[in-house]
Parts: sequence; structure tokens; C-alpha cells
Amino acid sequence: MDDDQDLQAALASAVDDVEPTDRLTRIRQETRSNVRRRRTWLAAGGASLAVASVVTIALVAGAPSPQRAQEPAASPSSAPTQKTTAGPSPEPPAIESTYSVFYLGAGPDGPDAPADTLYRASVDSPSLAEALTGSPSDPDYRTLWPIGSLGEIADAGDFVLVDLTDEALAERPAEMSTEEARLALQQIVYTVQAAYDTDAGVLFEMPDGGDAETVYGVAVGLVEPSPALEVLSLMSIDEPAEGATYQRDAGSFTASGRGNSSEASGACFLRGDGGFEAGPYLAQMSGWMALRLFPWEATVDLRDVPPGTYTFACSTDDPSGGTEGRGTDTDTRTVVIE
Amino acid sequence: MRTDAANVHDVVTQEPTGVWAPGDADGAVEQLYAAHWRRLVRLSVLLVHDQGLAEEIVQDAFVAMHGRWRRLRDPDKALAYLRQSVVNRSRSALRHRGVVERHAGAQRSLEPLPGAEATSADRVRRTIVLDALRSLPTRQREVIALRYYLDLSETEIAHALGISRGAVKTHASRGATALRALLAEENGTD
Repeated sequence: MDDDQDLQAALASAVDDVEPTDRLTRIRQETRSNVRRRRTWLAAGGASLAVASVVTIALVAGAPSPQRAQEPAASPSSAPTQKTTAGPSPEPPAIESTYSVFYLGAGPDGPDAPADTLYRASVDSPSLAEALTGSPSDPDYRTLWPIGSLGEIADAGDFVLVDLTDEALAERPAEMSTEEARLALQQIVYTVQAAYDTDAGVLFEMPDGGDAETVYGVAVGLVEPSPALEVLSLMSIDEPAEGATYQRDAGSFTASGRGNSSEASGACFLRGDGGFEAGPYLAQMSGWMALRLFPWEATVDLRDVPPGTYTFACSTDDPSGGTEGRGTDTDTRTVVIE
Repeated sequence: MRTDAANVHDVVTQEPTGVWAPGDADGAVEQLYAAHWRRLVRLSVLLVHDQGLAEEIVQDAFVAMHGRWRRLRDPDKALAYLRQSVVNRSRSALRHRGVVERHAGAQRSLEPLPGAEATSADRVRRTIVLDALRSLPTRQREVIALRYYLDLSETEIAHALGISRGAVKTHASRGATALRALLAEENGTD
């Protein structure tokens, strides 16, 4: 307690003599013009934004990696120790936080598999909205939310409020399937629930401050998560990050992720040029007899792996051998062994 | 020093004094302003180190809260929203102003904050504390400010920052250790 008091006193003394000017009048003026200002903005910029969003949807998939964070994440749910070895950035990156963001990626390979599922990736970003709308660093993933499409995201307790910046987001773009539209909403729900550690649903708000009635053509009220095993990939890699580099001299690295696989076991491989393959490395999950994903870890032995660039692939076990049902869920990362 | 009347009045965790009809966004703004304006500006000063900017940030947060009132309706939720908004906006403002570069080591002398009566010793101490805070990573600085200035619980901080309680613990522990070391160093050498 005494220890706390020293910092309490230090912080208080640093700002105790800050006497803010009175801005209540200005706040009143601003709040009076709130609605009017938004409408004016929409009239001026809404139409061009609508066009821009359609174009951006096509571009966001597979674009180059955003800047990586400088600050290691301290969140227990994501503790990356291996950072990518990107060259010097043209400008100093912002101090960022690590978010678990759900992106679309290819579904499993069985005959009854959905075309896309959601993959969970660790993303360093200045804000949750930017994390959801930025280009994924892994080219296998995509987001259905164009840059700038999401405004403020706020946890209001009973629900999480997500501001849409463009009225055009109410409608489904021509190139988006209805299934993608549903997954786009689930992208948001799963991501904000992870960020705020809540099971509250999501309310979308249109730029004029009203409730969204549809988002991407899907009728919405309070949007709740769909069952995990229906919309999520059953194999998702947390570590390594896309493009991570490992030293062969270290002997091995530890991969981790989340999944749900028969007998709680998945398998990972390193695949390189000329048909090179190392593995399997067992991805042992902490469970599987429940309708959720379980964490897994795998130790990847590098002793027989020559330096080079590899695809690190982890898959669920499919007892049917791919002949029926969902098939195998797979997630991949590009890794460099030096 | 911390127990002057103004501080007691605007302790953020106090019981809300007003009960407002749903839809009375104007009344909500007025009462929350009266109770929390000063303290929220001071919180933002701890984060962005600039009083004018801090006032802009908190003003914007109040305006945004007004727009949300139909959703929030409840003074506690509105205050939680204000805190969250002030922290988020402070972070964005820092980013846009390139203040982060200064964290990386470039030295820049501080704009003296207003406060004409402050003695030079007070000013030195304040500068030391703000400098030390500024040198912490963003998350640590935010957690430290919310914990030691606003006296928020781990759960409240987790909610305000959108991070887990475990992350709050980690940031608080690392931040407090780093801040104490920095303050001890300054006190020892100056």
C-alpha cells in the first residue's frame, strides 16, 4: 500500500496544478451541431466513399504486410517472442497493441466444407478498428472491412457498439456472397469479444447515429457469435507469425495455436522447395470433446532442416481421409530458417 | 496535496449525483462535466503531456458521449465511456503528433504547463514525473495513469483499455517498476 502511495502522490503532484479552461460552452455548441455536422459530411463525402469501399474490398486481400509493432505484447493470450525480421521501416512505427483478429481464409477441404472460415491471427495495431480493416500480413487471409469503414468501437457493457462510417455498408456489394457477408459480421463479433473479453453482442450504428438495420445486406439487431465450430477454422496458428525467422542453431522452435481435432491431435509440417518436407510435429491440443477451440503447442525440430524459406502447415486430423464431411482444416505460415 | 476540495469533489469513483431521464443527453453532459472535466483533462495531460491538446481530447470525448447517450443512458456507463474515449483519443493524438518519435530518444524541451504560482521546485518535480511517464511504453503509461491517478480497479482498467486483466497486471507491474526506477534515478542525480 505504501508502495502505491508513492506513485499516487507522484502522479497527482504532476498534474494537480493543471487548471483546465472552461469548455462547457464549446461542448454545448458542438453537441447541438452534432447531427447537422454528420449529415453535411455525408452529403459531401458519402458518395465517393461508397465507390471507394467497393474498390478497397477487392484490394485488401493479400496486400503487403502492415508495420509490425515495436512493443512486445504482454497479453497472456498472445506472447510473441519471435518477431519478423523486416527491414527498417520508412517511418517509425506507432506504439501498438496486439489484438486477436479474425480474418477470412480458405475453408477445409472436404466435400461438405464451407468455402471460407475465420482464422485467428495476432495483429499489432494502433486500434481495434484499424486491426480489423488493415491488410492481413498473411496473404492467405483477407478482411471484408475496407480501410476506414469502421469508426469508433466502444464497449458499452451490455453490448459493443461499432460505428460504420459509410451508409453504403448497409448493402451487400455485388462481388460479396451472402455467406461472406455473414462471415464479415462474425469477423467483427469474434474480434471485439476477444478484445474486450466479453460475451456481449455487437450493435452497429450508421453514420447518422441510427441503428443499422442491415449490414452488407444481412438484417442485424444485436449480433451474437455463431457457433465456433461452424464459422471458425478448426486449426489456427498463433505462432509463428507470418514471415517469422528462426535460427537453426537453436535446434527447435515452439509453435502454438488453437484448434479442435479428432483425438485432440493435429499435425504440423515444414515444406520447402523440391518436395522437401519435415515432420510431422505433433500439435497436441488440450481437449477436443467440446464445441470450442482448444490451445495447442508443437515443438518443431530444426536439426534436419537446411536454411531456407518454408511453409509451416498445421492440419486437423480427418478420420474419414477426406472422403466425407468437413475434411481437414489447415493453417499455414511462411517461415525462414537461418 | 491530493486532498484539496476540488479533488475530493471530482473523484471519479464517486457515486453519480444526478439521475437523468433517458434521452436527456444535455443534462448528462452538464453533470458529468461538472464532476469530471478537470480530472479527465488531468488524466489526458498525464498521457499526452500537453494541456491544450488534453482539453481538446476531453472536449471531443464529451461530444462523442453526448452522441452516444441514447445507448449509454446510465451515468456509470457514460463515465466508463468517457474514460475509454479519453485514453483512446490521447493515444491517437500522440500518434498523429509524432510524439512517439520523442519517446524513441530525441530530446525536446517541454512546453511549460500553465500554473503561474507553481514554484520552480514544483515545476521540476512535475517535469520529472511527466518525462518519466512519457518514456514508458504506451500501454504501461495508460495502465499506470488509470491505476494510480484515477484509482481504478484492474477490472475497470481492463474494460477501459480493451485488454485482459492479466495484461493489466503485467503492464501495471512493469510500468510501476520502470517508473520507480526512473524517478529514483532522477531524484538521485538532480
